[in-house]
Amino acid sequence: MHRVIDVDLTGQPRPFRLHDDAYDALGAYLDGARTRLGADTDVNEVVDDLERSIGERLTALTTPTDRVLTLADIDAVLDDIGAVETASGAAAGAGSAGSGPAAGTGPAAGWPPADGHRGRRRRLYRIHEGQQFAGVCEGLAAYSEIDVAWVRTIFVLGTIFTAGAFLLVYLVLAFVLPVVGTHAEWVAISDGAYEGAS
Amino acid sequence: MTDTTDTERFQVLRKGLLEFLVLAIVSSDDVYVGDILERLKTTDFATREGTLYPLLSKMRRDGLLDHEWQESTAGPPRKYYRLTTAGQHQLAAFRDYWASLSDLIDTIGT
Repeated sequence: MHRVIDVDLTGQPRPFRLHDDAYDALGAYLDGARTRLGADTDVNEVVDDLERSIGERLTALTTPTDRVLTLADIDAVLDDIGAVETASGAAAGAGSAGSGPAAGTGPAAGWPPADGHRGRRRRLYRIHEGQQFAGVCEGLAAYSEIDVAWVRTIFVLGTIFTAGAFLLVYLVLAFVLPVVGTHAEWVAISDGAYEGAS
Repeated sequence: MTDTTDTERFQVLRKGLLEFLVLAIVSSDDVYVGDILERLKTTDFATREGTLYPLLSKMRRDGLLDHEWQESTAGPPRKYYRLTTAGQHQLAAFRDYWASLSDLIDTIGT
């Protein structure tokens, strides 16, 4: 029995319905691409490009009959797209099977872009609601499910112990992260997926 | 000397040359990624999006190409690439260099 998860991809007018294992495979591929492209300043653009190509193929698979996409479908499409290879070096894991889900991908792997990515997985945003400064700690707390008080404590202590380096991290985050107004909005954006039995 | 080792040996060469083939393809016409893949498909340089997108992104950063969005008859808008002036110069310089290299390889040691 598979769960069915809705996935929005950049450039596609409607969501696709994926089995949970297919969803994990897609997430792992895109996370792998982000990690691989981590040093690339245009990482978001390239991942968007990849999503568009994946989306075009998935559209072809679900036209004219809208159906739930299986792991085999996703594997075939990802195989077609190929492992992400940067101009400088080796390939990231192409297929999906071995690479495992998104859990290991920390924030350093590349920030999620601001738009067009609803519903794939949790997103890091600044959250205005309850903010002390720019809402970075609120966003990190929501993202990591750690109480915001702890996140703030970590930042304050970190700033003291690193002679200000953590403050720099905060400022960078405040600068690069997209913003939402409330926690409810954040939940809506991050978790656009619904689950149902297939 | 088997085909396999040749293939591996020349792989490095092909990798370095792909950028110039992409330059040449983009110079002929405004193309989107599907066109580039199609043109390369039957050659030794057949590649996939996973390789091509990062390369195109790097080439754009290097100022060799530019892109614009165009409506497509099937589905969402597509990015169409074209060469910048710098890209045209780069391609011309590469063609010159390739000709001299090819000449050298043909004549050296014979």
